[in-house]
Amino acid sequence: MYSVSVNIKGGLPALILQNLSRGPNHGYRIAQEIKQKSKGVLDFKEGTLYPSLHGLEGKGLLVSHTRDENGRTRCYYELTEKGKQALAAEKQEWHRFSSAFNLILQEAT
Amino acid sequence: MSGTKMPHAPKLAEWLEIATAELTTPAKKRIRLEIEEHFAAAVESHTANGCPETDAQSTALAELGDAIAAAKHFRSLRLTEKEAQYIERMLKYSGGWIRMLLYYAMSLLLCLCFFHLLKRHNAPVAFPATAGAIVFFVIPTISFFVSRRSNPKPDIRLLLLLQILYTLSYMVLCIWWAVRINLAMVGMLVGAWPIFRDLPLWHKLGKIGGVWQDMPPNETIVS
Repeated sequence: MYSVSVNIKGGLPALILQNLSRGPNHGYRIAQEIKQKSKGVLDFKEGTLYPSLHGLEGKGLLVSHTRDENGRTRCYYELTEKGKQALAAEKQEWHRFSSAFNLILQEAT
Repeated sequence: MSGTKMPHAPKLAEWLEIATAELTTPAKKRIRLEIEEHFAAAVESHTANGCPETDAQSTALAELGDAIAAAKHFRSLRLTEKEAQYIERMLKYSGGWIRMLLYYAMSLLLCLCFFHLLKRHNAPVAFPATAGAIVFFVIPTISFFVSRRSNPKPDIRLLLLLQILYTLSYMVLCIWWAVRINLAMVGMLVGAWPIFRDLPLWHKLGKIGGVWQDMPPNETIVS
């Protein structure tokens, strides 16, 4: 079977923003949910998730806070107003890009 | 952050050592705790699915990916020890009273020498006087007040920008001087080098937002 390696490095921030649009979440769960929802297609090394989270936090798109859960302290991330706007812009850009891509791929041969 | 202990995970410690190399202590601490928590949750999930503990740890570590690649990402988004020390020195230098007064005195002396030389060579003084005032008085004075702010804390990016402007003004002055009097070429080259350090740092700080979360505490003292 022909396999396509999917590089989501550039798209990871948008996936994180989308995941957090449903409420605060922590790193491990964000990674699992992205992988599960894409049925394993969007696979990535989980070590790259944290630089992306920190980058988004630095840009003011997320805020982080710690929570104690079953004797563990977890770092939760939450979308800010600026993050919501960035997600809307990302979605719009993605729709524009994918529509253009589809136009080419669906061209009758 | 995490109370979870992983006594049989020396490879995780190694991974973290590589991934957080060169970063400041607060940045290291935050990353370590988050990754340790992530690792613990991954191991827990794999063991719950019937995987033996050692295999679960190896799988969890493999899922984290390449530590060197992670380190590269982290270094582009968090302050390194060297950068923090440089910012610390810059703050102390720009905000110190004694240094400031010495700086004014030296500037005055330099200006006197400068005008004396210019008179001897019959060159106009309006341009070098303006550039000299910017270089030796205006920028250091603004930097002084910016670096002494305590609430909110000093804007490091603004300080760096002032330093870049200082270097640029200094270069312009030296070039002008070199053209007129054929001097100061060496001074220009020596004075220009900080721009190669300040510009990339200024650009990086624009990407990472604030620096204060990565600055070690008790070191941000302005004399």
